[in-house]
Amino acid sequence: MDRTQVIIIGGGATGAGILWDLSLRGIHAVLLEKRDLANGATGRCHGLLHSGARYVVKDAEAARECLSENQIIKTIAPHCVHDVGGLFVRYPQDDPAFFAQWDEACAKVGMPTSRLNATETLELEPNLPKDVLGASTCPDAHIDVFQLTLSNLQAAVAKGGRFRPYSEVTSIEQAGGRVTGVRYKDSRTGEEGEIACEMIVNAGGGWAQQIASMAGLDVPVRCDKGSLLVLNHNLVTRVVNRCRKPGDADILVPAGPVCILGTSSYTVPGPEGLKAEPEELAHLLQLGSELVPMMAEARVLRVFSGVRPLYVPKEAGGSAGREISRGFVLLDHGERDGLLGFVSIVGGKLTTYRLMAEVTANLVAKRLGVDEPCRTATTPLRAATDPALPEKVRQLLPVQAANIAERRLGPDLAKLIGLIEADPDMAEIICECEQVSRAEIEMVMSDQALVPVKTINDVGRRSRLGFGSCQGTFCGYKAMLAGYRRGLWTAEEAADEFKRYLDERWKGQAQVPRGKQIEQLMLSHDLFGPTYHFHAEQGL
Amino acid sequence: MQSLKYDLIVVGAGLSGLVAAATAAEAGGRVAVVHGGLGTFVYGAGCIADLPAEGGEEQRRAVAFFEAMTEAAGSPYYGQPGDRHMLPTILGTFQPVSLVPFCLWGGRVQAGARVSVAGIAGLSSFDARFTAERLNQQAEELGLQSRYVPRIIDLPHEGSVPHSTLNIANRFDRDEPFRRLFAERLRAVQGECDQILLPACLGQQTSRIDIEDFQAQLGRPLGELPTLPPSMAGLRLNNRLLGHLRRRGVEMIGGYPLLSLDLADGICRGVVVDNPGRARTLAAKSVVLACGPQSETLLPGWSRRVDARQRPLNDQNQLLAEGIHVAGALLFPTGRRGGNGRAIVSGHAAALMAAGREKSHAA
Repeated sequence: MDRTQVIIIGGGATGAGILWDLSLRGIHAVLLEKRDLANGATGRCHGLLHSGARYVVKDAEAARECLSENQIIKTIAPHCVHDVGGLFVRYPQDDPAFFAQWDEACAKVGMPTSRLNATETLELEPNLPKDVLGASTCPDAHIDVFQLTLSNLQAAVAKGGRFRPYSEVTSIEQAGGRVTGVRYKDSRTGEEGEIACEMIVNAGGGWAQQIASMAGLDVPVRCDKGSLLVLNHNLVTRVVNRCRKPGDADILVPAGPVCILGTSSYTVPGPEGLKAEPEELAHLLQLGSELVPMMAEARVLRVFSGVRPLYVPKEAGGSAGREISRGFVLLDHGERDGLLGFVSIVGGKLTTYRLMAEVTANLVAKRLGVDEPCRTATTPLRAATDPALPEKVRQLLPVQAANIAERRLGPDLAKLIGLIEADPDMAEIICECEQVSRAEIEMVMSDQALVPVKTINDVGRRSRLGFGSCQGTFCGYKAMLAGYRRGLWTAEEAADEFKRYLDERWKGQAQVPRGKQIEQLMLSHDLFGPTYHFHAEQGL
Repeated sequence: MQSLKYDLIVVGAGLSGLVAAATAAEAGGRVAVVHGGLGTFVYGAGCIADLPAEGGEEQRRAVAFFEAMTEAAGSPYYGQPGDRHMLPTILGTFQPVSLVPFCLWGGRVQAGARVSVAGIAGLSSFDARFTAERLNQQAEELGLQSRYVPRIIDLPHEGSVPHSTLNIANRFDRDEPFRRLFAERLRAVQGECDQILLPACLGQQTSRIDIEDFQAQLGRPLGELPTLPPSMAGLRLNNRLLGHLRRRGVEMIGGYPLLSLDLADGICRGVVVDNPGRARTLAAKSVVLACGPQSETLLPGWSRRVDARQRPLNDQNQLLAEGIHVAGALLFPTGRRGGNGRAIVSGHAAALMAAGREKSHAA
């Protein structure tokens, strides 16, 4: 039987971070994820690397953690971070008493910040309303969540860690008060498997409660839904926060070629089947237009919803979503419930994923009797890039695509160059919106890839293919053909996969309330429906 | 300053707008097409599948006009309303079509045929093996008696530019030796086939004569498969129709979105265009509104119903304004299925109605 030391359940940033941390300590681990990487809260958030300034007033401890992790992540994963900086903007309609509280709290936690008057603020961000009172800077940044999770996995796999996507844990095996392994099934083929282990880490996020219940344990996690809008331009160049008590639609994050507005906050029964309601979106857009007035005219590309998995022990009673701590909790079920070898890491934020992984891995190492310290705070996730490589790529690809490839691939640019030099057709830009070359798609689909792909969406999470305004209508088809040529799918499987992909992309756009993107969606429906008789939208 | 006065302004350059403009130009009026950009027509392949065999007088007239118009444009259609010609697609499905653009006609299913599906090595947007494999599966499911065999040819690159259908089409348009080489390579691999399919790439300006000439070199029927946008099949059809309109004296005013209609006292006197820096009013005796299903905001108070002459009505079923006729997808807001037939019939009728000619024409 397959055997390892530690099984981690859940392929979000935290699970990937734990796999990397354990692998660095020389502990054998397997990460099981029922879908693909970053499928839960990690892939459905703002992409905001918090400075902590959002939490200074209410939760100084969380703010300090964020600030310290913010700086660590900028150092170990600069290729995942767009260090755009953030502003806390003072709007005339907001409470001036909060401004003073915020200033004071920032000083207390040591938040590096400087005050801007109204003129200076508008010089930096001309799309803000003309009547803003001023702003304060903070070290917020945009982080590419898929790239971050992928980089953790790649680094871990290179050190011997194992990642199994599309592997859903179906039971947790135990004997004599200890966990002994898990059974899982391949969620695409239904094939079943079994792995024996000494310890299990539950890093399931919104699914943590379900996972714990397989071991007969209760881990109370409340799923708090937040919906976000993707807009097709950078309306702002820095992260814009509304300086007030945290509320709906008060953060706008410039994320590569788009920007993301969020969020809402609703308690929902579970992490799946999420949908943004029309009123919810209208509300977000209306508040968003207060943040940046021209949002009223902006094109909404896509809507998505995720859940914040909030840890709510019984004592917390009936607190609402935003009242519950954003801090994280490590549960040692050996001590707590008498099931040895089982731990759960719950709550927390994307920004603190590394710290959560460190704390978890510390406990795991201790229980396994491994005396290796955590090294993730000082070990870069990726090796440095030879400066000759980007030079060379700029001769092969258009400048914009070359710059993006450099950021995403780093030392792997050498492979990209090799592919294009062997076959000039590989220089074609397959995804125009996100400037992804055919060579990169080939690399992502290669059986040499450290983190393999099974679906077209998996390709998107690794390369951003299909994330722009066409939402995969054109490039998804080409990615399907590339997978077919590589033998990833037969013709029939490729066609079925493309239909699933279209459904998923259409679903995200169908919730868009207005404007140009609806025309784009109709074009996509029309092409694949009446024009190609390939696939009709559901409900027609 | 009202120096410009048109007999008809058509808003929208999709199929219904182009047909309306051609109809009006035929009668000798001064006609302009105003559009903010190309519509979805250019993204399709121009297939017409939504006209019944017994479509009535209005349809018969419109189809006759359309056939003559496309023939004159050098991009004729074959087939009749009500026909069901099965056309293969790049995704390996079959699409039933009544009126077929000439460049797709040679690829329609013919019982018992052995068909070569020609791919071009290196092209990312088409894979002959994928298409042939899927076509064979689908043909079997549908009981169609034709067999598809993939054949890959090599075409020389132009420098280090990757192959694309647009690139190949542009060379096809201007480079005679390239065309001959292309035909030679196809001939070399076609084997014992009865028909040849290939991704749409045979020029974006080419006419029926050019493609028949190419087909003659192959000695068997040749049909293009429309690719995803930009598909040369739709682009070519669009280019030929625009050329035809220009030769008929129609002015194309494109690239600037329409701000509003010039509406006052229940009469439409023209359109207001968003020129850079200033709004510009273009005056017209009549306006045909054919700018797609998303443009109902141009008609505040419109109930989305029209009278028998395609004029917009308000909620009380009263005429919203004189001088406007609605055509194309804007008439059918819920219909998402390819409405090229309806576009032709309603575009032709709108232009006749705008000129008050629909009765005399029918007689």
